[in-house]
Amino acid sequence: MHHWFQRLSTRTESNIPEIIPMKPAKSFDTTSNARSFCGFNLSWFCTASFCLLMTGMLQGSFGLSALNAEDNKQEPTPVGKPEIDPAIRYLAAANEALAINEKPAATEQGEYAEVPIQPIPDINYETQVKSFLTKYCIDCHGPDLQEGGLQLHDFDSVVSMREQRKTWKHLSQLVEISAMPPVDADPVPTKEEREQFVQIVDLALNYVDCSLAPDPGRVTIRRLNRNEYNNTVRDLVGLDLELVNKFPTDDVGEGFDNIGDVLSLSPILFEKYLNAAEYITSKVIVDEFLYNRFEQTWVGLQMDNYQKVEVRDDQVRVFNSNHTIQGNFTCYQTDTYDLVLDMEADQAGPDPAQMNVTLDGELVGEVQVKGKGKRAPHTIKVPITEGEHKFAISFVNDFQEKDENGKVTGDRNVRLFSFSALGSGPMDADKLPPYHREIIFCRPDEAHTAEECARLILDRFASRAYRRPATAEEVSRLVDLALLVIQDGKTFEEGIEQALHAVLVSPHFLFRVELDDHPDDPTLARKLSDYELASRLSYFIWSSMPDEELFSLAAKNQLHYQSVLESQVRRMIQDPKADALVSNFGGQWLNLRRLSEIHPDSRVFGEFYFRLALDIHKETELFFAHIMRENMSIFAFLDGDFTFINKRLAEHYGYDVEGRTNEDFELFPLTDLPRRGVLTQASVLLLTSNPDRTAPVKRGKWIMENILGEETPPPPPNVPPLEELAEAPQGETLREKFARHRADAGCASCHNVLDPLGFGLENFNVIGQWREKDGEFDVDASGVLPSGETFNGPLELVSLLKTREENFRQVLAEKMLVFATGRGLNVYDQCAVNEITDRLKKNDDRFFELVMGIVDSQPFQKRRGEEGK
Amino acid sequence: MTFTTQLKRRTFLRGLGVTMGLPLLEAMNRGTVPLAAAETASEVAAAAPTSMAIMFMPNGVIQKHWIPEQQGTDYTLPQSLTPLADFKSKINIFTNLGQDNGWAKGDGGGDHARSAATYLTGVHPYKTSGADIRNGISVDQVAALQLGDRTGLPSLELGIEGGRSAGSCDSGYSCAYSSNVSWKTPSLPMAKEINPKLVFDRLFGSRSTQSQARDAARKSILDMVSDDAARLRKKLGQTDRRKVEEYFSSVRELEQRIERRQGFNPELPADFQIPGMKPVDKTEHIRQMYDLLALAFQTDATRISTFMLGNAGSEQSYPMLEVFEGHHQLSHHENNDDKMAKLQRIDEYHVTQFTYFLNKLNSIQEGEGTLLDNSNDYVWKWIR
Repeated sequence: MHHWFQRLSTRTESNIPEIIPMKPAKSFDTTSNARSFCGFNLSWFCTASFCLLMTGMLQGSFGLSALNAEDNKQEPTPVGKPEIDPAIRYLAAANEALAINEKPAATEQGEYAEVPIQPIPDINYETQVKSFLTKYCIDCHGPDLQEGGLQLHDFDSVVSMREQRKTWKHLSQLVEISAMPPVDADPVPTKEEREQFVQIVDLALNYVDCSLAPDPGRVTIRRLNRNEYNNTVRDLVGLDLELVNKFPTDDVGEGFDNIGDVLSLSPILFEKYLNAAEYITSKVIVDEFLYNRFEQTWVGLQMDNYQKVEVRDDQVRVFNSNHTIQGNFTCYQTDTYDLVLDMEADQAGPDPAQMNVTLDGELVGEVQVKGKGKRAPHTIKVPITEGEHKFAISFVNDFQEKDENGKVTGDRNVRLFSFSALGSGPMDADKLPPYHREIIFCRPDEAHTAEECARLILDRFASRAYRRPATAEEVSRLVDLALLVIQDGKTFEEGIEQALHAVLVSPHFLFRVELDDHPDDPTLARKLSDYELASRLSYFIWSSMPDEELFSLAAKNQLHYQSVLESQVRRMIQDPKADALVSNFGGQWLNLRRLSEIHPDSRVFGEFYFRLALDIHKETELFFAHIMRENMSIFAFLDGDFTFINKRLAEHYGYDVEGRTNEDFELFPLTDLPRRGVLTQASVLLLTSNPDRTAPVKRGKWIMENILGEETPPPPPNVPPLEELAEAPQGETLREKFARHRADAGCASCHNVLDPLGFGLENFNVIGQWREKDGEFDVDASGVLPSGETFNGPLELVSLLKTREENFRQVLAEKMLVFATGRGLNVYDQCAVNEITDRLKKNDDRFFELVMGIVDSQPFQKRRGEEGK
Repeated sequence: MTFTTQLKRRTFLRGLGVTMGLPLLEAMNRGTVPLAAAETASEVAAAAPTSMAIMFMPNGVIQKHWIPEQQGTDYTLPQSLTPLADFKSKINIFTNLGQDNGWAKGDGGGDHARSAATYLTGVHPYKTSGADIRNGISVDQVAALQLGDRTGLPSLELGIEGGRSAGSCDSGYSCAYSSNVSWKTPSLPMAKEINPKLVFDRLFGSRSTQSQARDAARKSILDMVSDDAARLRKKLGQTDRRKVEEYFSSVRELEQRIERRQGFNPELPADFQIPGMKPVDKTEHIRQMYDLLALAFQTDATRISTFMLGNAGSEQSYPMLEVFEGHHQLSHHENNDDKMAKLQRIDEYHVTQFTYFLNKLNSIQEGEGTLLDNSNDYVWKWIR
């Protein structure tokens, strides 16, 4: 069988040079050249990561063509072939050399192995479980009464318990915290009886023999969530179209929004996919034969000057006072362009709002925007020559109307929805932007029929979109679709666009498909193919599709070699795209994403505003990214004595820092300050507060769940929340209020842990600033845990938490395994988690070992069929 | 129409305009406002299509200012409902309705998630923060199943707050429960749209001249990918198969809509301003959504809609009412007068916005009546 990469490589060598002279072959190696190659005003809408990626992609494909040429013993086509950077050759050769002497471990790909049946723990249900139930529970939860819908008399064995794991887990928690049986019941179990019962239930539910061949579990087919979709499209077409906000947020399960079971596909979502497909091709494919002109549009963040001109909904630039936004424009062809400003203004005072447009510093247009909220396009015609240009858009006549009391009665503002440049055309084919040429690299001419070109184009595109070689049949159907459009009198490009739409809404693109020979047989497990492994890796670390290097290793079936895998993971972590792991894993593990929903009480914390909210989020992300890329110990999350701040944050925290700007965050040592790790960062402190006061229970709960990995059970039935207890006596501190709450036995068992942990952070107010007083009271940040350990203040709290190192390793390993596999964990997964935590422990708890431990784990590398339900 | 028994019950609702449901947990001793004189309106209704909009307001209400003290037609509007004075003759107020399945029933905390989940389904949602969400089909979707094929959109789901994106939303309940009231199937919530511009596009985006050509192009794509899905489906395990079936039915629905749309090309009112992205001002945001809802009914783009004025347990604050605390936090009011006064202001605020909507509907002539006469709108606040 021919791999698609071989087909691709043939194409890369023979077709591209003939049809599109790949001029900038020299621009692969340096940043500045990469910039010029990414070409179309990189600084506006290509992020740094995108540009690297773009060059990476090209490097990959050329490097790869060299490799495959050797594999096939073909002579590389000498004429017109793009020069290959020696460094890339070297890299490819090194990969090859590494891979060559290595044998893949364990099961071969494609083979199925039995998943052994886990033994049932040796428990006597009658004497060890049922006797307890009969004595203490069955009166209310048995044949006569089913309080709370719970009936326990139907259970007769450990197997029957395991069938209703949730019920038993909940039940055992309630017994453990003495919430059940209720205090007024008679008899009530002794402390020893409770402990023994809880232990037996734990054993019954969770016993697993890790010496048996492990069960890799079953992952439900995963739809791309909105971040993955956005990134995948970006990497597929080479243009970041910022599609995230065109899609609704995805449902969350197990704490993450990439869980196969939970991701659904409603009609509204499908329609959005179809709209997006049409939008994507309209942006990427320049249909010069239809429109005869070139068009490019910028919205929101794609326009420079982040600080002064507010971005709303990621789409609109709001000018509240006289400011300028600017950017670079790569003009591909000398032409007279329509520059279109889609704007509305708020009329105030006698004059309409005025916007000035300059090109390379020279005024080229003055646009007056009239009325209030009347959105309309405003066009100026400007001749622009081929090459790089700078332009700027300025609001020049801000105005405020005030009445005699000085109250503002009118404010002249402008909102800019988009800025577009439209050429009058026609474009020369070889001057089309690179992202267009990357996809349409073949046009029908004397040498190629439309069908031949369509086949080449669609084979490559579908194979990349489906993240595996497209089958000949799939390609043929796409080609037929394109040809139908062309035969209908449309252009070649329109035909291709139509087929691209079909690819972009295909289930093979929208879902991450992993096919089994025995999908309904849970006893047969198999190792993933290299293409499947490539996708698992890329969606884990990048939340996006594999790049050409991963694809090429998959095509050669070398990706699963241990040393290749390790070097790839290292490379991927260093790639800017790994920021996705920070925002998607980190953002959900630490709950940072909730920050945007939290609005501190503006009367108490008037100083807290939009920008600061973004800054505190960024602080924690940079902190996370630093630990990740510097391969630090994971315990730095807890006690890292540094952070990242800009000028605004320095002011917010009250640090005396000279010469810092708001744009650049820099590493800031916390050596002599009472702050360590994420717990003392404003982000976490804010998201665990109420809008107008700190919430020690929320902070305690956050620590329990995210740092210690202890699930806090929901309050037992019929326990009133804090707020509903009897009227608080006057002059009671928050701490005293909580103490009263804990006097209730049902609450005490949990709150004895939650409350002290949370109170340890009382020196930080809602928005994370240091304080010595809470209102009129002195802050008391001391605490005693049920174990008798004491602490005072945040630093001692952090040190105490660090002693629970096993808990922290485990919670991080579990959460990351959930994120990486896209499913909730099962009992058998504890074997994999144990292996990961052991590995961490033996390797100074380095971040890389965490990631690699997950990549090497059975749940990540294998899959099996599904058990019947 | 096919569902005759319901229809008979609906005929008494028809023409009465607005219905307000009030879940109360006392015995059913307060009656409903009896049938008001609406003969002419209901005759009109027989000709013009009847629409239904259901609103959801989170965190409950201050009942003292919400529930009228008298029964019958001669009653005093309580404080929070005073904005509705002009429409008093078109309102029915039902009290003593409650969703029994909103109670914990042994599942512990999570009343907010349960309130939204049971609201239109009547089903006790399965407590999970993950894999296995399970609720019931909601009443609007039952209606959409019956009537949806008559309009461009079977139903329209609107909201003010986006779905939460991290963590379980309420004491171990998946965020899906708190951020949706409309459920197409027990496991498939209908995601709501909060952005006015996108709502407009969804309703009318295809009116343009190129839309015919685009519809045709889309049909050929849909043909192809539904074929893809059918082939793929055969190779999958059962859970995966269900996921791909969701895909499949979404494709089918779009295909059907394209077919129905041929011939739907409504005139928009000349003065209708096409909305922009989500406004920062909450009142403006809510009103734009109501405008769109009225427009959707006016043009018969859909007849069934739900509108969430906040997610269950919403922490929105209302600075324009001098309410700076989060709504949910405030709703645990401990009978504190100040907090209750603020909550009452929020209640009244939402009724004011709702009245804006009623005014809008009432200003639109349809047949011999107004759009309002042909609509059933429900505001239903949930409190445990």
